[in-house]
Parts: sequence; structure tokens; C-alpha cells
Amino acid sequence: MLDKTIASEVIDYALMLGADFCEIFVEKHNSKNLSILNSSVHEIKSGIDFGIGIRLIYGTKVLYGYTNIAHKDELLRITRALAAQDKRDALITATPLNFMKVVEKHQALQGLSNTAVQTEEKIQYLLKIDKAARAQSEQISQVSAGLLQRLQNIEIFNSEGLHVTDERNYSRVMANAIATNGTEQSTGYDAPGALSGWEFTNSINPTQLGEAVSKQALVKLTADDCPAGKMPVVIDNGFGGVIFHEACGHSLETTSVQKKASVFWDKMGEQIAHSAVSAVDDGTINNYWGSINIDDEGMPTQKTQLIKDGKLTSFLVDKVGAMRTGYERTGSGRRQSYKYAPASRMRNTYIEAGNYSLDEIIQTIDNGIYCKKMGGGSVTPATGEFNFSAQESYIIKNGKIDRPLKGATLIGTGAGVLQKISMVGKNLEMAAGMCGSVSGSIPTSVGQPAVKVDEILVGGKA
Amino acid sequence: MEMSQLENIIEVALKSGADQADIVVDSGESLQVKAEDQKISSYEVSSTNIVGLRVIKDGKVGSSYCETTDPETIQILVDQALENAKYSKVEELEKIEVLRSETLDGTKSFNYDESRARPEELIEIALKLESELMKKDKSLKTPPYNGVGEYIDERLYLNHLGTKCVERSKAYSCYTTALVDTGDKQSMHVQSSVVRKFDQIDYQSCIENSYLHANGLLLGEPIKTGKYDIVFSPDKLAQFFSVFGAVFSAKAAINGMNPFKDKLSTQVATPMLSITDAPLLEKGFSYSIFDGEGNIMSDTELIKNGELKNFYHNSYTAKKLGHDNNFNATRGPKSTLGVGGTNKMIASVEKDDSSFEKGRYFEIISDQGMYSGADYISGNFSFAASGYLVEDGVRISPVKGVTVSGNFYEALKEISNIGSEVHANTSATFFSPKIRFKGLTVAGN
Repeated sequence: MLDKTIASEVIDYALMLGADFCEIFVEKHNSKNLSILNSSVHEIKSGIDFGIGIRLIYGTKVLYGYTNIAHKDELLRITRALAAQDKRDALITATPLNFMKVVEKHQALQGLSNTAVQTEEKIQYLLKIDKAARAQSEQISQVSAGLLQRLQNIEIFNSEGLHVTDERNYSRVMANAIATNGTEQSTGYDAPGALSGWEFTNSINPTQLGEAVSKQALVKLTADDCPAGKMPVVIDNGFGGVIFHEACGHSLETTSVQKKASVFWDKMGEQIAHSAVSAVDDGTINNYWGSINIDDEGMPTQKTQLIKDGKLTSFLVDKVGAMRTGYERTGSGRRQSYKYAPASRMRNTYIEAGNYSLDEIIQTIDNGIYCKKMGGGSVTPATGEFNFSAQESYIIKNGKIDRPLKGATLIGTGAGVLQKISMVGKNLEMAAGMCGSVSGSIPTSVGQPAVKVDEILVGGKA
Repeated sequence: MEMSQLENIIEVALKSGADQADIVVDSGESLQVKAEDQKISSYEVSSTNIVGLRVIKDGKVGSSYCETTDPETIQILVDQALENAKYSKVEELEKIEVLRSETLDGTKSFNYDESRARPEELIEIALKLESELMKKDKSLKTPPYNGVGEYIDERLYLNHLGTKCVERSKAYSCYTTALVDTGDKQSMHVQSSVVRKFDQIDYQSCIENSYLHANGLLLGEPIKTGKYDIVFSPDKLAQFFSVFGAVFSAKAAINGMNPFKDKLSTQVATPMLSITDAPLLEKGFSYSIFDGEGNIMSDTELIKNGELKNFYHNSYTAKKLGHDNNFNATRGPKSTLGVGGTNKMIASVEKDDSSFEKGRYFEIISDQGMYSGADYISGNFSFAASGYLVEDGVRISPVKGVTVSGNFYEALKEISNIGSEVHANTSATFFSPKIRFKGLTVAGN
């Protein structure tokens, strides 16, 4: 996408201005969104993002700039502006650019550039979701469904001789149902996604997806208000993994660790979790939503064991994180687009499977909460304080799942909750989500089997 | 971006078969500086330019966007919009119809001037945000997040009828984060400030307020589970109303996704509550003279004495619901025609705040998960909060580790008092006296 000669000239210019490192990130990003509402096409929109980000490093200081203009003069102007405060005599020279071919692990047969799949076919798929959702009950008052497809082409050059390109195809289906009984309204939502083309929908039955979101909305329509206070909680698999993502994952990114703005910054090798907990961040799983061939600094990604039997074994490390902390890079440098400098970020993060069935875990609780499906959440890495909401939850009474609940929120600290996960189930499952942080919003998967947290503060109205 | 380039895109769209076309453009330049350990840790410069095209052909609407405007990309932009229109349903009510011969220029001396900050001046402030904060207390760690930036934005609108609108604005923002760590306890608070001129940057108040609350909340403890009156800080109050902002959307009402869709002219809140949207408020940072369809904007009364008066409308939603258009169309380059608001103003009720302060309430300073813990359809919310227990206007103890839960629609009716002095949130888009919400559930000890 960018002429190699121009890239070399910009890198040479940056080093001539005294930079220790120069990186050029080029991105062209096509996207198409299609949505239905009121059982007909609601919106179809598409677009092309294009831009170039230039990163200079002086010592451990990061300078970053970007532009939509791919001309050499503009790139030199940005480089000059960035280096203006730090200009010094050149210390090093650039290594000649050496093109590296990426091993494609996440093939997409029907990506956005493949026109074999017609828009009409995609519309019909979404209408099946709508039909199935509405068929569940007359109380379903509205259904929306959407499809997002993206094709991200990136090209990275750097002063260490790296020249690499990659193509990433993403597909995601969204389904939302609203139930109404005259006085109350509630919603159900699901949004599976993959690093794949349209063929990924072969694994997502639209009828089942429509039924599932409607059932979720209907269950909540007659739910009781959630009780408030400290109690044991079982968080089921799949999107339940957002508890680990928010409570602990962000605090293991060197973005926080390097600033000592993480409760785990000095805990490497220590027992930070119950011995039942082992956790992984893996960018290599074929076609998973959070997978990547290479990270946004051009490094092949990898599987990283974060916690083993409760002990902290690794952080998530990008280039700057490695420079500032001394830990080895883990292929975790990620960014939303050329508008962001890369930072250490999660990929597919999950708690590994344990030994218990869901029933065995539930049976240990006399009075608590079962969170079947989690919603979104947030965390402050510096203090580890997190919050996340339960999208579908039930009261547990005398070892059995009882009435549905609404409005449940779980809060605590990452360090605290890790110590209180005492049982881990067998039913590991992953789910797709978007993760927002300093380098923007990126696709990540969360996951876990069912886990039992012995005590956590539950927020509710009752 | 040159108007002639954009007029060319409209021309290409019409030649390619569009019956109607319009364009929105968002351009921007920025310079942002961050400090760490008394050195500049990050220095970012940017320039961006996004063009969004909408076409209407045979009554069907299609849209697309791009970030470069070379001839090849322009043709792709036009072709994609027309291709998208093919699969849309016929929508007779969506039309591009604003016709004005004079260019509408919303750039004013109070929101834009040609002067620019020198990088050295921004660097000096970034370093002070760190060093002057650190002088306050030995328990403070290097602030994990701080920075200062200059932002210049330009919005353009033009359509096939020849209507052109332009508006430029400039802003400076700074923020810092006090992180207090005593070994066994940590507390953090971020404070930001936004102004329009460089010499107005108030980094001292960022330092003072970030430290005030990080330190003040360090020893916070959960309070006993029960019902408490709640008063939000200006930032948190703005956020609370924003979470449920779709209640004012005519588009959401048409789509069956607005719980207030049948509530026009009915009492939805306490008679004390009056809310107005004020796009031309000079001190408001959502100042805007034209909407996403090129119409001239003016105030919109949303709630008057507790009664729902208006939804936000564009030309399509107004026709669809048979209401007057109040010119609140929104449209970014990457989004289709929508509706939305600008600056919100809530009217005062009390003559002074003395009666408002009587008794005990929980003052919320920070939250976690207010967005993720809310369901705007049902109105149920539950989020983690920190702040102070207040007795007769005096903060008597810090509070941490609690959740606040309730129902927004019930809470609007259960407001027990609204104060006198109007406070702005830090982004200067929400202006309100203090509001006291009666008896929400707090889960703590």
C-alpha cells in the first residue's frame, strides 16, 4: 500500500533526526454494515478507512503521528514535527527492509472482497433471525439484527528491517429482541463473531440465535429484582469470561504494569489466584474473533500462559512494554487503527477448564446467584476495581437454580476475586466482544468454564 | 478541504445516477502531549479528513464514506453508496431538500481563532500536571494518565441543491490522575478540563480536584445496605442522563425502541424538572449552528415541568410522526441520518441550596459500569460507585465499594429536590443544578 522506497526514505530521515526506532503502520480498512429492523432492511452502509501512522522512539519516549495522506512530503512533515523536540545527531542507521511473508492461519473464503455471496443472501439470513425471534411470543415487540463485515489490510515497516503485510477478515452477527408486557420492557442480545469471512455464519443457526435472544428478553420480563449484598455467585461459561478480562486481564497488560498502575506489577511468580485458576491469552486459535497472525507491531502472535495453578507466570507485553519492564514481547501489541500507537492488549483470554460440572458447582450453594450470561463491564487497572452486569441471572436456593432476576451487577477487585474462585467447571466456551483501552477498540474473545466465586458484592434493587 | 473537491463528488454522484446527494465532512488536527517521570512520554500529531456521502435513487437511500479523495476512491465511494441504495427499501419521506443560496458559516470568534499553542507551551503544562501533583503528597505515585492537547475541528455540509455549511472550532484539554498508594490501600481519581483558548487552560484545578478526591476517597468504606438519597457530581449527572438519552429520540420511538414513545404531553418526571437542548449556547462545547441536514438549529424544549414536550427530530422522523421538525438531525461521515442533542440545560428550582442540602445523602463522585450496568429499555440500572456521605451539606465520610441500583424512569418521578446554582460538567455540555434522587438502593455492608 505504501511504496517501499518512500518507507525507507522516511525511516532514514527519522534516524537521521536521532530517533532510536522508527515504525510506519499503513492501513486500508473496508467495512460494510447491514441491519434489519421492523422485519425489513434498515441500513446498509460501507466505507474505506485509509491512513498511515508513524511511531518514533527516543529512549523510552514514544512519539506518534498519523495522516490520511500517503505522499512522501506529508510523511516527512509528520516525522519532522514529531522529532522537533528531540532532534539529535544520528546514533544508528536503518537495517535494510526485508519482506517477511506471513503464515496465514485464519483463512477467509468469503471475505468482504469476495463478491460471490450476494447482499440478498445476507439479508435473508438476518430476516430468519427476525422471524424466529418474533415467533417466540406476541410479547416480542421489536427485533433488530445486523451484520458487520470488515477487511483490514495492514503493512508495517520499521528501522529494524521489518516489512510485513497482513489481511484480516472479520464477520459478526448481532441480534437483539425487546419484550413488552404493557408495563415492563426487557431486552435480549447476542453477537457472535469470528476472524473469518461470511462462511462463519454456517456455524451460527439464525433460527436458534433469534430464539435465544427472545427467550432471554422474555425471561427477564417477569424476573424479580436482584437482591443486594455479599453472596456466592456462579458465573457460567462463554461471555462469563468478561469477569477475568476486566478484573485481571487489563491489569496484566504492560500498558498498566510499566506505569506500576496495576495491582500485579510486582507479583510475577507469586500466588495471585486460588490454585484452581489457570488462565491463558492466546492469539493463535484458528479463526477466533480475537486471533491475529501478527500483532500490530509485526510480531507473530503466540499463546501466553498468564496464570498457572494460581501463580502469575506472564504479562502481556508489547515493544514499549518490553523496553520499560524487561519482559519478553508476547505478540500482544495491538491498536484499533492507524490513529493509535500500539499498546499491549488482550487477544483471546480465558480461564482453562477445571474438573466440575455446572450442577456440581450449583449444588454447593444454599443462597446465591447464578449468572448465566454476562453483559459489559469496566475496570480501573491501578486499583483493580471492576464492575460488570449480568444480562441473564437467577437466584440459587438450596443447591438449585430458582427464579430469574433482573438488574444484577457484580463489583469487586481483581486481586480479591481471583482468590475467591474456588471451583472451576469443565464447560469451557468462548465469546466475542469489543475491548476498549488506550489503543482504541479492538476485537477480543473472552471465555471460561463455569466458575464459583465464594463471595462477591452483588448490586440489585431488592 | 476545498469546497470544489466536494462539489466534484456531488457531481460524480449525480452523473453516476443519483437523484439526490449530500456530503458531510469531518476534518481535524490535533497535538497531544503526555508526561511520565518528568519526561515527555508521548507526543502525538494528527490530521484527518473523513468524507461521508448519502445518495437517494428511486426513493432508496445509500451511504458510504472514505478518508482519501483521489479520483479512483471517489468513484468507489459513489459506486458503493449507489450499490447500498439498491438493497434499501423505498422510503418516500427521506429527502435532501434544504436549499440555501448563501454559505452558512458557524465559525465564531468565541469558538475559533487562528492562534496556535507552541509545542513548548503544551510540554510545559504536561510536565507541570505531573510535577505539581507529585509535590502534594508522598503517598502519590507517578500519575498513570495525564496529558494536554490542542484540537482543531472543521465540519462541512453540502448538497446537490447548492446548500453549503461550514463550522470550525478549537479546544484545549488537559487531564491528570492522582493515584494514592499507602501500601494496603489505593485510590485514584482522574480530573479533566476543556477550554477554547490556550491561556484559559486550567491545569491547576485538574491537579487540585484529582488529588482532592483520590485522597478523600482513600479511606472510603462501604455503607450499610439500604435506601439513600443520591446526588451526582456534575460529570456523573451528565453521564446518568446520557445513558438513557435515547428517550428523547424520535428515531428510537419510530423503531419501537424508546420507552417514552407514547409519552408525549404526559408527565414523565417530577414537575420540578425542565430540560432544554441549547445548540447555540456559547459556553457549551456542543455549540452548533447547523444540523446534519444543513438546517439552522435552535433551542428544543424536551421536558417542561415534568411533561415530555418534544423528541429530537430530523426531516424524516418529523414527517413520519406528523410533528414539526425541530432541526436536530445528526449525521457523521460514517453514520446514516439520525437525531440527537447538543448542550443540555436543566432549570433551577430552589432560590438557594440551603434547603436542598438538608439531611443525609450519598454524593456520587465516580462510578464503574454506569453504561454497562444499565438497560435503557427497562430503565433498570446498577453500577459501582464511590463518593461521600453528606449530612446537612457537609461531607462526613468517604464511601467506596458499593453499588447503586434503581430504575431511571421511576427515579425521574422520585426527584425530591433540585438546587439553585447551575454547574457545568467538565466537558461543558451539560448544565444543571444539583438534583436529589430519592431513596435509591445502595448495596454495601
